[in-house]
Amino acid sequence: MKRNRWVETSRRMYTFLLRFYPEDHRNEFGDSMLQVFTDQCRSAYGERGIWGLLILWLRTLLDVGVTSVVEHITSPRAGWGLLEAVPGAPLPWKGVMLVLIPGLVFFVSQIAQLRGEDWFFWVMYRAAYFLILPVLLVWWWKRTFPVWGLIPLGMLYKTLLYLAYRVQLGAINMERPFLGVVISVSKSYASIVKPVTVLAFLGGVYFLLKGLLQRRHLQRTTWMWIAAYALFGFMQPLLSVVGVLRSYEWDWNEAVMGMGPTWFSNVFYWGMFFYAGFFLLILLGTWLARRYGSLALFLPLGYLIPTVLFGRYDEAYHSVALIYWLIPAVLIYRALLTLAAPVWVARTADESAQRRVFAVMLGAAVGVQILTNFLVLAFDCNLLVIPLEGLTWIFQEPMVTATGIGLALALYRQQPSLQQPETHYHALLHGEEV
Amino acid sequence: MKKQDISYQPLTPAVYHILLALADGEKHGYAIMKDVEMQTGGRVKMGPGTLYGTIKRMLAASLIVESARRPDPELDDERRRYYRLTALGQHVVSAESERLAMAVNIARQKRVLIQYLGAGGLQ
Repeated sequence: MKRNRWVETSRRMYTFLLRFYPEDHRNEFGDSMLQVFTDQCRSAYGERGIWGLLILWLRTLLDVGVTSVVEHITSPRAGWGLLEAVPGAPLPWKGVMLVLIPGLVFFVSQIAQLRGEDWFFWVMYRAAYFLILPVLLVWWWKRTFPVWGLIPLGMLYKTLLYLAYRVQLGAINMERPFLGVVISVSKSYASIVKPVTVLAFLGGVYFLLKGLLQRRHLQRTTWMWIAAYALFGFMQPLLSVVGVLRSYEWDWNEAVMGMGPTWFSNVFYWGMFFYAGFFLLILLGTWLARRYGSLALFLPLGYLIPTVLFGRYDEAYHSVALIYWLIPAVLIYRALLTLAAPVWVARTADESAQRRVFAVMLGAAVGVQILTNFLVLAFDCNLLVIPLEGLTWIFQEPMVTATGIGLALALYRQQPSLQQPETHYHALLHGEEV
Repeated sequence: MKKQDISYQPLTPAVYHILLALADGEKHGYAIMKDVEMQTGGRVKMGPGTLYGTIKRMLAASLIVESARRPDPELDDERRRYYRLTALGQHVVSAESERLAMAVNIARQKRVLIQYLGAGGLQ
């Protein structure tokens, strides 16, 4: 048959459109669909020339648009990689889109904040409450926590942690009906809330570490990461105590009398509040790693996404030139956390490669954070006389983040590999009957 | 009418027309599409996605099967896949046709049936 270049071009374009169908449907009917479309093209071109072909394309695009969605929804493998990780395979792009949504929300709001709009902070404090809703819905419907829900879960944990911090401080508008009551109760039992919080934290850490020790999943490198995390986490409170003692000429009794006995417990409590919370979250993630493998790293990633690299820019306190450095730094930081890391990790098939990608992305984000802190200090004070507290401010939070990431990578690496014969996907993978 | 036939009713238009197209012998996909177009006077033009999505479901429901036989290979492209009705498919299309015929009779009795005369307009 004489080749027609319009028909051949249409064939090539339709071959590309076939990629929108599920793989199993494409494998079974792709050739037949292409053959039928080719016949339609020849017929249409033969009857009405190029216009016939264009009209055929209008119908075909609608046909592909509707039927590809239907096939994806009705495919037996519709949930493949959406609810759980598939061993040795990257998440399908539909799963990646779901992983990306929370990060996109923060990235867009970050751009708005750099333009002077403040709704970024509304997103930071409240977005997690909304982003977790579809996750809970799917969890209730499918009786399985979806892998793409780990990022919103980490975000929700951070948001609730921040809420608990502000409630205990009483730093919330008392006129709010529900939170006002919570704050009142918190104040009434102030003497109990802190010890209970500390006991709850220690209890959680104890049971989680005990479980890991029983499974012999704490190797030397893990203990080193824990020690490093504790070192950087305790740094600020310790330096504050050292500073106070220095001012009282190292007289401990005088310092306690002067500052009050509760000051020392408070400086550790408030100084370590978030770091302890992050540590607990990383340990909780070890349970998720048994099910989701290295994709459990999405949990600490979700925790880190709402981190504010730089608050409101204030011309009264900051150099104007600073903003020209901050804008690209903040955007790079946010892009690494919200876009690059989730997509790259999700699309990496091998678990060890997922951990490497995560380490690189988060390491780069931490580097940008240190650079940003340094720039703020460099523009606002004389670099030759940076106080110790200034250096601590530059490095402490980024190093806590870095050691937390290192701890998560070490812990989740030690979990049993994804061997769950009872899972649906394992059976499908090995051709077993489902 | 068998109980299993009733459970398939009412058929979607796509399924019914494909069953009708195969009623007079096995056909490949494009021939089914052209037959449906002819049955409906050009009003129903299926795309490949609709056609094979429906064929997939009909295969799963055992209304049709893929035919192992091929016409003379010199006359046809061997890549084409042919389908034919199963016994169940024949029962189902008969049952659906009976149901539609019954509905047409009732419509005639109630004088609500409008007969199309093609290009001549309505009667």
